[in-house]
Amino acid sequence: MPPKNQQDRFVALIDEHRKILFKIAGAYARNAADREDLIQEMVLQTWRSFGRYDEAQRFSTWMYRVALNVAISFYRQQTRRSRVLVNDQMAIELALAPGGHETQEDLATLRRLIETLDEFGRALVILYLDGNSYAEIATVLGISESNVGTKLNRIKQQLRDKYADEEKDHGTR
Amino acid sequence: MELDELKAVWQAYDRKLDTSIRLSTELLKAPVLRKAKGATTRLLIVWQIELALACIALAFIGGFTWMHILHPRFVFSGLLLMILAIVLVSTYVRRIMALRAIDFSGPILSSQKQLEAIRIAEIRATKWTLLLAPLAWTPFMVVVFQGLFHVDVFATFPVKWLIGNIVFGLIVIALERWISYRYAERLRNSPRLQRWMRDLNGYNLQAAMGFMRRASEFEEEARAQG
Repeated sequence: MPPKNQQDRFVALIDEHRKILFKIAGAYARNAADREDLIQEMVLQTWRSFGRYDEAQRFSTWMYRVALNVAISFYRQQTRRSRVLVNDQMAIELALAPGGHETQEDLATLRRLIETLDEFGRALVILYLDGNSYAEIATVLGISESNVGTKLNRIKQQLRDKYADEEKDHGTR
Repeated sequence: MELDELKAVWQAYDRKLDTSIRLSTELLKAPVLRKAKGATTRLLIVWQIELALACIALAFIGGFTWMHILHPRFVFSGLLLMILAIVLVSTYVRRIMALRAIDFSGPILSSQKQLEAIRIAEIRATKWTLLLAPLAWTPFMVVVFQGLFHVDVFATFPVKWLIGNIVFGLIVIALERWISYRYAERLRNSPRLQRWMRDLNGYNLQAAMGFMRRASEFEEEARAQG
């Protein structure tokens, strides 16, 4: 068990990077209660793994790995229980969305996109949207940079197609 | 709509989080400060308790078999149970060691594959325990009656009764299978029972294999690209 000063340091680091936890929980948990459970689980596992943290590495990169590993396991456990894939209550709290109608709509689009992705696709999109480089995403996921690029291009195309379909639907109504 | 356009939405969401989660800092500190146990730790504790019980059973059966080494009818029952107990103990030991070795700070794909491999081992162990338990009932009764109450089942009950127990065990296995296929999805209010039924009917194994396949495909493309 790490000593007390390590605990203080850990709490400070986790506090500094807490948004990562909230965003990941938003993409993998289906409601507020699940989100809270998942965040606690991620904090606990990050604390348990903290002894292995290498200072030479960026804390955020290391934390993404732990948090996403916990989130994917949590998500799988939840979907195993319900057998029904989460589709209505999950993802980003719209209540947290800033401002106007357009942003709300964009956020809804983002939410719908996340819902269509599997566990790994969600991780990829979160890492990308959070501004991580291909190299960092590759390190977190454990795949090559070129594969990150391929998969992101596929998701981008998927989004374009989906948006075009929606536009078409709106147009025909 | 482009993914890069959504980056701006995500950034706005990020900024909004700054203010909305300020009060939630306590939520982050609480689990560490009160030394709460995570899901992995809780699972390890359960498996370690079950392993301890399996070891106690193995010691009891081993002692019984040794004490009755000159009585083949008891030795046969004892050995059968010993084999089952040894397999059970070894699966627990392997799963506990594998779970302890998981590095959650490792790359997502490899850590998830390791976790799923443990899950597959657990599903298989549950399935075979449920399938073999009704058959193990007869030798179990022989050992327990003789070992604890000094009642020789072979001398006390007619052979037909023993055969009846074995047949009953086979019927229970068939019934288990039938129920698992027919009613597993209706057991939503009993998650544990539903999990066992899904372990038995192969649904959970299929799902776990599907996950492994998806993870491998993710990696396969990486190799193809690299």
